[in-house]
Amino acid sequence: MKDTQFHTAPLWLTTEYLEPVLRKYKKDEGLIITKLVIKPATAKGDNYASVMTRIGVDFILSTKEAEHASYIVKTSHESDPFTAGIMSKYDIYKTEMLMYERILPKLTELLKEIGDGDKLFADTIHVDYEHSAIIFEDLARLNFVIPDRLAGMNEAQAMITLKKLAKMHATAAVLDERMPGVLTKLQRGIFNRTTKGFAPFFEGVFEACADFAVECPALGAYYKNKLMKLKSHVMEYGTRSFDAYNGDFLTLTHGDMWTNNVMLRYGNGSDGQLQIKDILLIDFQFSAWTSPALDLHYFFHTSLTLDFKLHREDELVQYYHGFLAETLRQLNYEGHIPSLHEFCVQMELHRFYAVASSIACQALLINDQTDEADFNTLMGSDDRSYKFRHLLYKNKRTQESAIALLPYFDRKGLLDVSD
Amino acid sequence: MSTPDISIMSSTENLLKLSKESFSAPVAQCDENFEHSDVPDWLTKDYLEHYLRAYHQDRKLKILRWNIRPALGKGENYGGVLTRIRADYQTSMGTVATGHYIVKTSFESDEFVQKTMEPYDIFNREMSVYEKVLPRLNELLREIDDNEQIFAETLAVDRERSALIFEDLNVREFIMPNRLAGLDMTLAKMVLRKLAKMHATSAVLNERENGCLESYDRGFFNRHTDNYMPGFEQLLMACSRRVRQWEDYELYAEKITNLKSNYTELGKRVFDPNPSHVNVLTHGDLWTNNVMVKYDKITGEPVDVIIIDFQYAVWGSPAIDLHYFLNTSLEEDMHLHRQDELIQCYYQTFADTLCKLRYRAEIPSLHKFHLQLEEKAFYAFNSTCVILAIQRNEETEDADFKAIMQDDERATRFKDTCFKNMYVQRVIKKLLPIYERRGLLEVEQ
Repeated sequence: MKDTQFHTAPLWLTTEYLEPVLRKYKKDEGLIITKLVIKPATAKGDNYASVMTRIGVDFILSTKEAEHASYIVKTSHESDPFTAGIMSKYDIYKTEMLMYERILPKLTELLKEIGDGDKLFADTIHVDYEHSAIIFEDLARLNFVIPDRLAGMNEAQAMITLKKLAKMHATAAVLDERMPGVLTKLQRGIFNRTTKGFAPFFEGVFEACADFAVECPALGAYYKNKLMKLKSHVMEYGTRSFDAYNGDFLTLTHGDMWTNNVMLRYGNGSDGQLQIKDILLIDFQFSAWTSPALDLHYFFHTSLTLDFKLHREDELVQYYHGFLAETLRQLNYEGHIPSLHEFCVQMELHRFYAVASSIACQALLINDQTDEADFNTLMGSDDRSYKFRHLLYKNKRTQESAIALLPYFDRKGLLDVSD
Repeated sequence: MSTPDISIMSSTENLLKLSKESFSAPVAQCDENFEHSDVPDWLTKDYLEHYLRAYHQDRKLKILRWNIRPALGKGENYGGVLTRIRADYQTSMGTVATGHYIVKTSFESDEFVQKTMEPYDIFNREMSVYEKVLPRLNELLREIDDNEQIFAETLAVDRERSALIFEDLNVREFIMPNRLAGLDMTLAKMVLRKLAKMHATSAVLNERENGCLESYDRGFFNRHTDNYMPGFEQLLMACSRRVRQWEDYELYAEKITNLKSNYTELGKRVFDPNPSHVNVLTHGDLWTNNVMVKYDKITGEPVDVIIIDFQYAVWGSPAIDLHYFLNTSLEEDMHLHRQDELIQCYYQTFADTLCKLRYRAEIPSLHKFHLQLEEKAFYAFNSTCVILAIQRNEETEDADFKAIMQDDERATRFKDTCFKNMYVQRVIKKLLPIYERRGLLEVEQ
């Protein structure tokens, strides 16, 4: 298969560019790069918003020691005007650069303050605003792996992810108190009040779901009708689910909290069994200052098995909340720490996002038919795009999810059009 | 006006036939504890005659004969004395008819009971509701061509004696459903549809009449009196004692015990009307025994329901009635698994009625409504873990108001007995972990 990713690696990524970067990072002005190998870092279907390039660098330090290092370079789709056009409205490159350069390092510091040496994110090597690029440590080389996005996380993976997420949310809320105005400026989540650029995707996939429903004996025309009526309101209701409401606990969300944005490292435990040693969160392009309930709804509905969604959500929320509240307390957060029930109410308030995540986002993210899986196809209005979006609903897990969850959403009034 | 059986008779012969007829209407379990002293001494033939004359607008109406007895046994009603009367009367036209009535009067005897109940003013409230509110709600339904009957027809309200005279619904074949079994899906939906209409019309009435219903502010939990609180708290402790006996439930028992320190405040918050919610005149005590059902004689299927007993009607969130009803009065499977479906059924009628009556304030979407219910979810916990045990109690020997409110040995034993009920234990066991996971067992919520 022709490697179509290759030509999208940025042209400015050369030895001349990287040498000064590495010299600064390694704090060695005499460092010389001897070899540079550039390869695509991800496959189709792994990442729609950016280009990920892996660089293998051989270099010699001023001490004459030879070293090898591997980094990930994350860049925008500069060469593709269609994608670049839409993505720029979401400001994803600026957001992520701000996160890696200014915000994430401070969150790590806050944890250290309370004696928590937990690492939440990958180290930033370099942030380049001019090229809209971020270079960070190659977690894959450090034996970090991504969980299986097609299968969904198991319990251990889910729990440890929630624990990290809780710490991120807690430290961000405290950081805002100490550094007001910086985090709150981030207002370009997947749904936001500035752009409805993803409308073709959401509306298109809702329609694909409706067409699946009418053919499915367990669902039928009732659901098709409801989904088709809902389709033209999805963007507005999604946007409303991102609004802050009176009494909400607010913080900086991850914004794209799913399997592929979590990296795990396994190791042998004391009993000789393989266990999770560490997890890191990556990819902060859609981070926004809003309700953390949104991260949870998105995570539950894109990254977990059906059993969790149907029967164990409250258990997971409780687990998450425990760490959120505890970390906030330890950091002497001055705002109101929501009680568990208050947080449950907040989850309910923002629950339309669970609908959007379940019907649309999940269908995309666990898609296993990746030949056509790129941003253009996803968002287009031609026949090819229409077919691709309908293909998403041939996936068994996506179908099972719709069958189980549509009635639940319906009973809660989440499929109703109310104005 | 719905009327008792009117057999139009013109001859003495038929009169005789009538006198031989046994009391034919089906009655609820009762009778072994028939004490004449339960029937108020002022409840005489003359008394009834006076009100029948007013109701039928017939000054010459005369009661020929009557039969009077208590209507309920122990454990069936904790708020008042119910007396059943059958009267044969002759009108000024010479026709003879039979009427069946229920007379509801307040407790007279026990001082402790009287004092405890006093600030809740339940008898005056019920009279006000029957006299002033329910007829207006009925009017609103007629306005939209809805002729459903939701409440019992009142013949008279006697404020002086704190008495209400109703048509005896038994005669129209309404009976009380099996208190110990819980309602099935069909029945539950019928009740909820009527409840929805009652709620909706009350919201509209309140809107049209400048907040006239907002002064109803004395539900079980309220900001004026705590008289019932010791009773509820002791029930909470009895629950905790029972839960502690179950394997692996120590954490839950501990949490329930700790809850006592903030219990009344949490209950009051449920009852505080939230200005951003839709508020209604709630029933306040909507459970199996306050619902009467008419079953089809042949198929046995329920045909109609009537809601009774408005002693605790209070202005507030529909959640008060819904959490209470759904967690005390349903069959097990529905209690555990099918509440969302029932809420959806209630909501459809609620929103529809509000819309038809041109309710001016915002009609919440179903999702927003669910949100309002979630905010008041403490009452779901309370209904399952504190109230259900009393309502499903099968050992009715000691089942009275004092047994709930007092803390002597007899009262404690009664409460412990309630929580020994196998059904109650099973339901609490299944739902406690769910309540805990939603943060409803925390002292600070």
